[in-house]
Amino acid sequence: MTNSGKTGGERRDLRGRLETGSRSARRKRRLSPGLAAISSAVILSVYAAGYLHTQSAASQIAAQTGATAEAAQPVAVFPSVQPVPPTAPTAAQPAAYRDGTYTGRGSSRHGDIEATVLIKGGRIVSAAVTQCRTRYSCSEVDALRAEVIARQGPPVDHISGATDSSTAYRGAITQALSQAAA
Amino acid sequence: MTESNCPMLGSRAVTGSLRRCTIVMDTLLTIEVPNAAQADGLERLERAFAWFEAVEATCSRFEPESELRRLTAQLDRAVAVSSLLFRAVQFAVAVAEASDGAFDPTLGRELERRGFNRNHRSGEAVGSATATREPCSYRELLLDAAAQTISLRRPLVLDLGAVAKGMAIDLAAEELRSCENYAINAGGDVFVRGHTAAGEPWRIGIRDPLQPDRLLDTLALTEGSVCSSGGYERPSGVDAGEHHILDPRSGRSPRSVAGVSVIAPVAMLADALATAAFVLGPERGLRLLQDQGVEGLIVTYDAAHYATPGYGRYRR
Repeated sequence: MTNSGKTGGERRDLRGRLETGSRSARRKRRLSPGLAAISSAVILSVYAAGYLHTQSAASQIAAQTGATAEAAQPVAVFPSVQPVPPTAPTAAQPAAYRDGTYTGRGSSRHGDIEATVLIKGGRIVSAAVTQCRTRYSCSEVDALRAEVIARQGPPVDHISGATDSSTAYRGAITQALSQAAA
Repeated sequence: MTESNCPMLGSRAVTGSLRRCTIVMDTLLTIEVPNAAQADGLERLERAFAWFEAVEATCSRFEPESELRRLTAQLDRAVAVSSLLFRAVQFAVAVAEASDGAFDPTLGRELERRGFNRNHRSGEAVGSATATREPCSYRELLLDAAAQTISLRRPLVLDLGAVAKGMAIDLAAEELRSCENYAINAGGDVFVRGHTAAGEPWRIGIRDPLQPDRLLDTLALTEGSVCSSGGYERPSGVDAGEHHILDPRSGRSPRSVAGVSVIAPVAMLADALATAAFVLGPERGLRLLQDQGVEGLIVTYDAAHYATPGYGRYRR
């Protein structure tokens, strides 16, 4: 599956969905070079230049002349963002945990969180924060507690726009569950 | 390296997986390589981390000796710069042009005035001798690609905050490309490839900018980056209600958008476009995301959601 989102049909779809109704503000479509192409070229060229510096002395000489080779534009490879087909399994298999109480600790830029999971009948029944040593309130991880129980495992792998406390909580739960692994 | 406190430590049922975290660029960086089969996996991991150090040392506004700081100290002179700095500025200017100046890499002085001026390692405040209150914009930057020089036509302070972290993520990702599966998370800006240790697609939660205790969405990806911009993480210590994202045209923090998340092939693009869309507001921001062929979600303070048409395909 490839990422599209560029078809005219979808754009019309977007205009239909905008709540403003300001169809008069139909914009002129600019033909500026796409930032996706520029960003890919930037990464490849910097990577190539930097990579040379980590090589042998002979390569380093090549790297010093690399600035003049800048004109030789690297070929931009268009990596696509791969969504996952809807048929993919969505939930982790319920794990068989050993009954008991397990504590784990996770840390962040702003401090540590200790979480305790309670396993009964092989299932996670609670995943509470037992110590909050972050600079900010730990109430922010409340929704993640529900997710741990719903998924019967650590919450999502990563959180975009995350507070550090959610990162720390995820670490604490993962650590606690590793001890509960049957 | 605080490996023992790494939030990833303790992932279960995995042998041969590599994970490590550290504080760099004033944020928690975690790199995870599940089921690393490569003999040189550890070496690649080291080099991936080294890219963050290299980008920070070059592009940081907070390091007095960074190449960016040294460039900022020179006026009306074509300064030869490294490929890394040149390309970072070049990309930032391209985003500025594409967003009609809603994104601008010359806001460093304004950010300093708002208290965003502390080195996260030393705690020392940085300031700029060249800084005046004269208005400036990215148009005052002259770039010569052939000579790889940059000159400043006015006294200004470059800030590559919305570019450098993404760039470091992408360079680290490039370093790890021979590994089938990996995830890089730098303070909530994420790049993933392949699958988790359990063989599942990576699940990335989108934090609700209005209710920090909620996830808005969970996305599933096997390749690509998800970056978010929001005013919640770094409020200004100087001006109440202000944060680290500024509208270059008003000099204030935008008031309509609460958060933007962008899905793009590379983190540098996702991060910069999330910032630009944040400043542009929901409608123009959404158009920018579509024009650039990326997917994203914009959430306003009145809880309206604006998603690109393809965004839903990533939702779980």
